[in-house]
Amino acid sequence: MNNPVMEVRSLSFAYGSQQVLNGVSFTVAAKTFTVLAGPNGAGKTTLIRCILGFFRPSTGDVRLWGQRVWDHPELCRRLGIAAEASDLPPAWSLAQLARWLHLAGRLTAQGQAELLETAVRLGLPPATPLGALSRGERSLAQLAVALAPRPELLVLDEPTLGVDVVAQERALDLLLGFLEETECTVLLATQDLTLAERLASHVVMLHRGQCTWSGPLDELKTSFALVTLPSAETSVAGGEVCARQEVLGGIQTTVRINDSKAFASWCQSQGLVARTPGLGQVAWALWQG
Amino acid sequence: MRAFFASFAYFFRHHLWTLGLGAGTGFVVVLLGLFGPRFWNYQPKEIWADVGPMAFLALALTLAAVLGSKSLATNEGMRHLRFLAGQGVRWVTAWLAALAASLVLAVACGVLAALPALGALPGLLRPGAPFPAFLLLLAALWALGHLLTAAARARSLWIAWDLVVLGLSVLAWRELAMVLGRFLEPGKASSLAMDTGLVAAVLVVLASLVTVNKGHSHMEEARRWVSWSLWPAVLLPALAALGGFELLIQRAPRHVEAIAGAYPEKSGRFWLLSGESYPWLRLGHRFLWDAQTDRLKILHLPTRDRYGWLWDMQATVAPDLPVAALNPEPGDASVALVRLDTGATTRVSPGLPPETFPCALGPGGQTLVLFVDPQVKGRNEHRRLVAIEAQTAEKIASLELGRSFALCQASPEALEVLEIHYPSEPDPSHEMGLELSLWRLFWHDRTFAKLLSVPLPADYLAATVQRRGNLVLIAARREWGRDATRDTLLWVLDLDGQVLVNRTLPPASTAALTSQGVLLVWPEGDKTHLELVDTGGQRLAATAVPTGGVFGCQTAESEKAAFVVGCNATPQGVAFAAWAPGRATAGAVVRIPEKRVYRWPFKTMASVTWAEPRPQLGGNPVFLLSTGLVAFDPATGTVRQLLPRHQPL
Repeated sequence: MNNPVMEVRSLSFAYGSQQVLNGVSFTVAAKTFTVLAGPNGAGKTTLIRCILGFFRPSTGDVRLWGQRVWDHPELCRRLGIAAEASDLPPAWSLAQLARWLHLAGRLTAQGQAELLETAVRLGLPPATPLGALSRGERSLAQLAVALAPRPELLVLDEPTLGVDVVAQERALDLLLGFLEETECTVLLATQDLTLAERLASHVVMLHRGQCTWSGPLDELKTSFALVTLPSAETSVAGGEVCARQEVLGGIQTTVRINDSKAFASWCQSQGLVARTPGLGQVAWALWQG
Repeated sequence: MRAFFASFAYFFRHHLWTLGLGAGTGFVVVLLGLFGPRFWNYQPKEIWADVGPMAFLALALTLAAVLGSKSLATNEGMRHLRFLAGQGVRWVTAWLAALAASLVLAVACGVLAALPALGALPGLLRPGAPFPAFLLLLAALWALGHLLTAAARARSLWIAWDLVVLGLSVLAWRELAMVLGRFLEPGKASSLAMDTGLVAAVLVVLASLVTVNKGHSHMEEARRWVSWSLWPAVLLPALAALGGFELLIQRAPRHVEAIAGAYPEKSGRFWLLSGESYPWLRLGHRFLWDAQTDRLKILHLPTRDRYGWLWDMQATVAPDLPVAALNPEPGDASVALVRLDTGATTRVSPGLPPETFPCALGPGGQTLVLFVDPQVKGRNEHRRLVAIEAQTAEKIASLELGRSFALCQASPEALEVLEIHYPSEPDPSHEMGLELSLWRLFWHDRTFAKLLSVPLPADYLAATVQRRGNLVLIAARREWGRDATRDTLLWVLDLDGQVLVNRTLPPASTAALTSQGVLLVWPEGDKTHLELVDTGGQRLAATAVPTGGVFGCQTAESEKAAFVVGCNATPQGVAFAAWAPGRATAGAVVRIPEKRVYRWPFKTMASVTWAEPRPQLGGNPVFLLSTGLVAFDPATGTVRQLLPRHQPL
């Protein structure tokens, strides 16, 4: 991958004796939408904080645009951040925050006005303290603030967690509208795999602090197949069984394909139809394994 | 800069509530002023003037610590940091902004609290010289609040390291306080301690910066940096000051500012001195001087007691070897034996009360004679003289003195003790009589033998006693402080108590037993008269030396010219002259100005002293002036300044 925006190299991190991340490595290419997917406790938020230079990894490092973010905090000026645990000052309203961002040089006067317009469009009261907003409204506000400086890299940590369907759609509209206008690179940490599949071009699968997969979403999905076997004892050729689930008419089996030709001929010989699994099914198989 | 101002505004806005606290306190101060007079006998202005500055200090200092603890180390503080870092603000900038906003708010709150006082007494809180130091104190408290909160929240095992370094810090600072207090004058010591404290304050502030810059919002990482930076910041300045001080003590001083006490060994080559060096530090110390090689070596012995009072050195030198005995420090019951040629020091613990002083050292430093004076501490116990084996502290002999004082003079054969008995407690405001007794202890004996007892008339307060062969010379003066304006009584006695010479000389006279007879010296007008008489009082020779007006002389016998006198001349200065009886004229008279740069305690109490043989260097008698040592060459009539070397006397 030429000139990746983000490189995570053999990154490990522990809270005291509790190892949270263990040798995580992946890269994020420019202008891609990468989803960092993982179940609860996988270490997504910790990884995001390491990526942003808030936490120091015990081993490995994180580079943004080729520079160690720990040593170059100013790189964050090129980032838009919307984190799960909001770090926006709860006592401030969006209007105050917009003024401060202008004062800090993060927003132009026009950007400040646009942020307030966006807030109004999203139905967010600009004069209400952020702490007084509902969780969904806060998430929207975070996203709006993250997008306002028109960042080169957007780091989103569960931006739709606890957000109702309507607000989620608004947030997605806002995000997609922004991505249409810019060539921003996105890293989205989420456990909402439906959303992830809808948006992602690349996926990083994180499980128990380890990276179990990273690469293009299509590649991930075509590396696996879903077949319904008559019994659990049936062996599979050209692939290995990752997960089984009893369904009507047999055992639904997720297979990691090692040899696509051998697997296809085996399916044909068995009279089985292999389907491409969804991201959720792959994730379920990987995380269960 | 923009990021700094924005971050400053962020923290300022966030802690704006503190101004309400300041205003509230100010309001309470106003109420105190308005209603206080009903309960206390003070006017409102007086109450405001008293309470205002206190409120200012209390509020500013407390708020600095509280804001330090809240700004960066709590969950909320970590969120502030993450928010600012997320906006691309450097960690250092965020830290600096938090500190600046906290200091502005702390001072503003203090001013709000003190407003009534300022209204009543304008100019009460005028920013002056101490204001930067006050700001540094606030910053240090802020940093301490930050660091301690970070340490407490992390609950790390680093606490073990913290406790160890904290313990070492306490020891180091205590040692520094002791060292500074015992070697430097109180003003210099407190100034140096203050400077060291300011350095520590700066380092504590830097420790807070390092913790944020290196630990970011990572609690464990920050905790580690707290331990690495905070306690060393507290410990290192004390260690550095102690190390620097030790370095000064170890190396030979380039400058000696003043000499206050001098104890030469018999040959006159090795000297034990007390004085000051390093003028910028005014370091008081005991040191050794090799007159032949002109090398100095500082002894690691303090010069002040725990209260900062200068402690005059009481030492004695063995009659045959370059070994001296002295009290190592005030209140220490032990005695230090110092080799004047090498500086090797051993300590002897005689098992006597702390108020014990070395009085004499026997030949080879084998026997130590100690003066036990419990009345130094106000205890009404009898004084005594105790002779012990220096190596084993085994008691050899003792002499009960009751309320008397004792002075010792050691020769290779025997110890002679001058016992001075005052009929009542010495009091310089009254003229009292005294009785002198002479005792002798041969070094191989275990009992003191009384040689002589001489009562002095009641109005003679100070006396110099000299021994030579079978003779005792007593020159007694009526003295009022340094005002020696009254006659001097001169007696020469033999050991049977028979008075051989009895003369009354003009004020400020002196006398000496010499190899040729008794030398009498007295000033008259702008001349100093010298007269040599035999033991029957018959004049052998006499001369007058144009020294100018003098108010006291010291004498010496020299091979180059028979007699040398050094006289305190008026105005300040010293005149030296040499005289060889039989020659037509007296030798050269040299006058040198004497600059008093150093004030050791002035002995105004009436006293009796042994006249010791004057040390000589190459046949030139050495004189101790108020600021240094000089040698007078009677052959050439020149004065050579021995110490201090680098400045005129």
